[in-house]
Amino acid sequence: MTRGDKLILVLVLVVALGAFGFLALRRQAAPSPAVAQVVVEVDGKEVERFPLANLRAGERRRVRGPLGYSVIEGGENKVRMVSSPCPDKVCVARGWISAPGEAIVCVPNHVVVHVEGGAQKQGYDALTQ
Amino acid sequence: MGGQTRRLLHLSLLVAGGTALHVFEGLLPALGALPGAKLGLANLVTLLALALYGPGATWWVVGLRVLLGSLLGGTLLTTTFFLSLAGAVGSTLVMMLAFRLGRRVLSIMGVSVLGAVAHNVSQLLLAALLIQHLGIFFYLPYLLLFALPTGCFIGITAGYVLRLFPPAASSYRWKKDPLRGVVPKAWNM
Repeated sequence: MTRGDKLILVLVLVVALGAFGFLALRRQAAPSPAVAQVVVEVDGKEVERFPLANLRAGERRRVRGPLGYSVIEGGENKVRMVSSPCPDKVCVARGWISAPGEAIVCVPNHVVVHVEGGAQKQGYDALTQ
Repeated sequence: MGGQTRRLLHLSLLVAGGTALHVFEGLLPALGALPGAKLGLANLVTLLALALYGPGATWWVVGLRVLLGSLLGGTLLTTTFFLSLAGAVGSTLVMMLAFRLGRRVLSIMGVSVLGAVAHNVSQLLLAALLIQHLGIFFYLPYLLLFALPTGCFIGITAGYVLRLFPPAASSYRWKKDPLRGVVPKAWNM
């Protein structure tokens, strides 16, 4: 273990914590949802968008990807991936998401489900006084 | 045994060992919802090949390992295969550079940690490309934190193995014993 090794360890740690902070800040900066939207993308193209509140608990919707149908299910103001034709089931293991900026990603089936805050009328960026 | 024969034997063993580790790692269950959080066991083989026989031979060892490992694991040419390949190529590239540029500053521990980090980052990059979405980088900080202990562990293991070779045998001259100050004296074999 040389001094250089320790430097690398510290650097990686700092970058990791920085990334945590960055993500936390972005989550805070996201507009609080007037109406939270569930957005479903396949191959980077948006295929579905509906208010999270419209998805009743237990209601399921199918999303078609290259491997077959991924199924999402609603809960009490949250959504999760119930089943997916992918081999590793990372997307199913992700569990429930509900806050803006959270996402369920299924790489093999090219499906991304994420929650967006409702389109709020934003005020001005800044005002000179 | 002649030098050439020994080299061929060592490289073959590294390919075989790497393949076994590659398959074994594929059998381990994914850690909760962290995709790609792996022990990076196969990186051990990359490290040893680099330390003993340099970059040229290492590319062969890594390429054959990924190919054979995917064949045996039944993932050849699937998404998993390409993610493995991206991770292997990325970490090999970074470790090569670390060996070349950092030989005065780093020991095998540092090289190993860099390799583990590179492995995760290149896999995430490819995954983001595949799904056309950067949201997957949400996992980056978790994977980076995870790469620290695994990178150290693999580095220590490689250090132990390299001790069994005379310094002249390795293409990489250690300035210091990589395990000094890391492994308690009682463990020294």
